[in-house]
Order: sequence, then C-alpha cells, then structure tokens
Amino acid sequence: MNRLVRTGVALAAVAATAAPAAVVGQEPAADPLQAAGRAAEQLSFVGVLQVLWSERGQERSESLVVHGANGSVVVKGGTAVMAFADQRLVEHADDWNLLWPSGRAAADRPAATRKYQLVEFAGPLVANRASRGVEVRTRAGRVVERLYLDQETDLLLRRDQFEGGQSPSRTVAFESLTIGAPVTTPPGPAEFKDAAPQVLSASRLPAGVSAPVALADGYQRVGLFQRAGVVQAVYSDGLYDLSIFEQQGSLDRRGLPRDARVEVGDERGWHWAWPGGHVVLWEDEGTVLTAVSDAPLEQVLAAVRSLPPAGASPSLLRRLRQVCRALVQPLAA
Amino acid sequence: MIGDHLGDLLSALVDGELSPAQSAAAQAHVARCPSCAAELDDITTARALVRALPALEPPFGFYERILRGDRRQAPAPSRWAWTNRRVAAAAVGSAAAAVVLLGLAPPHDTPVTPPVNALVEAHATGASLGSDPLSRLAPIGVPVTFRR
Amino acid sequence: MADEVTPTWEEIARTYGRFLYSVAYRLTGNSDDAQDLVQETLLRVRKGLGGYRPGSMEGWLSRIATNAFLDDVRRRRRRPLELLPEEPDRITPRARAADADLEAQVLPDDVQAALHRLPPEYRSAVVLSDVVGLSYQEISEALDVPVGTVRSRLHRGRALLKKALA
Repeated sequence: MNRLVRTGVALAAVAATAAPAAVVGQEPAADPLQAAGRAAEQLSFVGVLQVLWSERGQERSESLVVHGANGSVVVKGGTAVMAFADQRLVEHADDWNLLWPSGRAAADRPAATRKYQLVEFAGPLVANRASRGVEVRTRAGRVVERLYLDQETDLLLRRDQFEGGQSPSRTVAFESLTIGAPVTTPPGPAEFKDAAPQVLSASRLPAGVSAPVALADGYQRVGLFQRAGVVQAVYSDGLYDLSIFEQQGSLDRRGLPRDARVEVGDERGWHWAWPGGHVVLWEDEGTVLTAVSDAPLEQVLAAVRSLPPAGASPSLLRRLRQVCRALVQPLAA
Repeated sequence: MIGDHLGDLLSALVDGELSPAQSAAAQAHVARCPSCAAELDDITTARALVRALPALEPPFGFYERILRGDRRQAPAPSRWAWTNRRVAAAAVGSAAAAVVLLGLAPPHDTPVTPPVNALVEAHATGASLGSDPLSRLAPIGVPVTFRR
Repeated sequence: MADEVTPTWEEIARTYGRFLYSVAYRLTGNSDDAQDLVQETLLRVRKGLGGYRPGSMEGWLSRIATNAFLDDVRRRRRRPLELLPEEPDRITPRARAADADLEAQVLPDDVQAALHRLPPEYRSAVVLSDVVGLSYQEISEALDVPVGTVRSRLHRGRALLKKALA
C-alpha cells in the first residue's frame, strides 16, 4: 500500500510542475491523439503503465504491462486487452473475446478543435523521456486534459484528466518504458470467441430505442450497434466518446448501491466511477439505459439529460401496456 | 525443498500437514532463512484473509428456486450473452386477462441487470479507435467489480 | 448422523443451501453463477445420492460443487486444459515492513476480487482449504489429484493472492 501511495504522489508532482506557465503555446501541428495512436501501432515498445483514479473518495492505483510490436498492442493487468490494427479483443480467465472486428467500430468523429482548444507547452521528463505537453481546454478556458507525448516518437506517455480542481481526477502514465528494443510480438490468442456487434441502421432502430443524431454539448452520433439484444449508440464530441446502451425491460434494482443516486431528467439513476471514466444507469418507460464515457461527469449528465424519452414514439407494445395499466387501476381500486 | 528453500512445504507447515519431525525441521530452517521467513509471512497472511471471509447470505428468492429445481435450459451464458437472467414468474393479473381476451400477448416485465463490466469494455475498446489506444485501453486492464 | 438415515435432497438443499451458496460464490465470483452452481450441485446430489457416505456433509457437498465448477470451466475453454507445472516457481518475498498492517486494511471484497483473479485450479484449492477447511487428503480425493499437487496449487494460489492484495 505504502509503495503505491508514494508513486501516486510522485506522479502528481509531475503534473504540478508541468502546468503551462503564462506563455500561450502554439496549436500543435497535427491532432496529437491521432499521432499518438499511429505511434502505438507502429513502434516496438515495452513498458509499465500506471492507472490512477478515485473510487468513493479513495485514491486507487493499478499497474499494467504493455507490449507493442508489429502493429499489435497488448495491455495486461488483471484483464488483458489487445489492439491489432482496428480490431479489439479482451481476455478474461483465458477466454479471448473479439469485441470489434476489422471495419466495424465507429469511425469519422468530429474534429476535437470544434469544441476544444489544444495548446502546446514544454513537457517535463516522463518515464525518463523528453515530452511535449498538450493542454486541452474547453472554449470557456477550463482545462480538461493534459497530454504528454514522447518528443521523439509521439507515443502518449501520460494522460491527466481534470474535473475541476488542481489535481487530475484520472491519470494513465508510463512508469517505465523502453522503445525500439527488440521486442517479441505480444502473445495473442490462438482462438477467440466472437463477441462482435451487428451494425444497426438508423432508419431501422428497434422499438423503444432512443438514439437521436446529436446530444447536448456537441456529441454527435457516430455509430449504432447491437449485441445480444442490447443496443449501443456511440456519440463523440471529437475528444470523448460516450456510449448509451439500451435494453428493454425494467431495472432489477436489487443490489444497486443507495449512495450513488443522480438525477437524470424525470428519473433518478445511479452513477459510478470506473478507472477510465463514468457510468450512469437509469430506466425510462420500459428501457434500461447505461451511459459510459471518459468525458467529465458534467458533460455525461448533460448529454444523457438531453436524450429524448424512449417513449417519444411508443411502440405498439408500449401503448398496449399503457392501456393495460389504465384498465388495472380502476379494477385494483 | 527447491534448491535450499522450503517452497510449498511452507503451506504444509501452516496447515499442520507436516509430521512433528518435519515441522521441527521446517521451523528450524525458517529461523535461519530470511527469504523463507518472509514467504511464510506472505502465505500466512493470504491464508488468514481467506479464512476470515464471511459466510454470504443468498439473494432473495434463492431457496424457492433451488427447491423448485429450476434449471435454465441453455448452458450458462458467457459474459457476452446478455440475455435477461431472471424472468418474473408473477402474472399481471386482471390486466393480462383483459388483454388475452382481446387476443393479444400479455405484457410482462422482465427484470434486467445490465452487464456493466461488459458494457464498459465494449465502450472503451470501441473508443480507443478514435483516439490514442493506450490511455483508453489501460483502464479496462484493471478488473473492476461494479457492486450489485 | 447417528441413525444412518440418508437425508433427502430437499433436506440437504434447505440445511446446506446457504453453505453451498457461499462456497459457490467464492468459486464463481458472482451471484448468478453461484446460484447456477448450487443448482448444478444439487442436481448431481439428486442423481448420485446412492453414493452418499455419512461423514462431513460440507466436505462431500464442496467436492461435488468444486468438480461441477471445474467441469464448467473446462467446458467453456476452447483450448485444452493447460498442464500446471509440478515444480512451483520461487516466489520473491516482499520486504516485511510494508505488510505490517495489510490485514487491517484489506476488505473482504478485495479478497474476493483477488480470489477471482486466480486461475480456477488454484482458486479451487484455496477455497477447499481455506473456505471449507478440508485437509490435503480430503482435497486430493475431491479433485482426484496427488497430495503434492494440492500442496503446490494451494501454495501458488496463496502467493498470487498476497501479491494481488499488497
């Protein structure tokens, strides 16, 4: 425990000294996150990544090993995740699941600069490598992210996310990193289970699903999918993705924590933080909705509150249920 | 013994599975070997933590279900088969009767539990395509239990 | 069990249901799978009740539950069951000072999460030993492996647990 806390403090100290001073930097030449993504795909590297986040007011930390070689990146903690070109797989207890096959996941996101300002600044050493810093601000001037990219290769060395306050609310950072050394291709699965979604057409959404073209605060719909009866509508503001998962039925409330309530329009829902962002869960007229995003909670709530009710164009079945309820009430009286 | 160290004999020692002579020999070794002493400490701690786990209360409806001998027809789904796991047995009463009279399927409420872990993974892996993969994928590598 | 009357499976379900649920939860890590495992265990009890030998009911039931659990694990795996090394690795121990207050700080949920991260074969040995309280001989009979294998799986499982919790 002590060792983790000390490391956390050291990382926080990097953040404090790295804040850009008075000088306004230049707009970075290319989208830094795209550049970082390409670097991860093209380089050979091995490193230890630390993830820091907050859960119920407690600081949490976890270290993961990451390998990249020959276009394949594997991140291994208690769970392993693999990226190979545009495919994504996740492993649990020796079972690999292909979540996104080639060409399936959402693409064509709006440019981040439509909503955010990207400002470059001189970065400190991160994992013993010279970095360049990119600060991401809202139009109102609030800092939401600081990114530190390797000066030599553009690989993302550290990402701090801010939700109000001086210290980051979430961090992913390399503790140690070796680039270019001969690295064997990360172990991939010999076999995997197909957990890929079907792509849904916007004109043929299932009944009871609410998935407008846009949500509040610049979130545009970039994908519609379905896995085993659960619809996933993916939205993006250029920097953050926000998924809204929808299932028909009523929420089984047993076991949901009582201290995690949040208002979502007319309904009350539940909120959790996870190491990579937020989850908001609520139900609306026979649909259970789960929103997942790494955007700041404020934005997630604004977006979900702007979702039109699922019952806006009620299906035949929903109208029948409403009729039944009307029948039962006088009988039950 | 593996090389000069006790290895899994340390577990046997803590569990009382060694003969008196073997125990004495093992303890003598631990007394002069800091590496085995530290390992013994680790094993003892892990054992104590598991032994201290509380007995659990089964959820509501458990005894009914097991006494009825309910079995799901399909083999237990993988985490990716997001079918509704519990269907409320209760009929809707007069509403159902009224609707059946109209020749329509009765409505039913199926209590749903969103598989939050799986949804988070589906989201984050997809999101990593629009952006830097490392910072989007690393958080999924951290196993999280969303308390239900 | 002085009067040697074989209990009916309903009596077993009522009396030992809660015990079985705990064991099943520690093996599977979640409530739904735990309930399924209890169902499967009781089904096997119904079928095999003729083979019941009076003695530790908890031990006998845990044995059935654990085998049902491992059968299910093997069935879901698409690769053949990996052979576990018989020689356990040397575990590098941590510095002692950091561990001093570990027990005071670790929550049961953390232990459960760490337990769930163990490979199923190691987890089974740890559950049978430290949750149910069986001896190495009893675990060896339950899992049909030599006592030496029980000892090494248990030791390795504990070492991994400690590592996951520190």
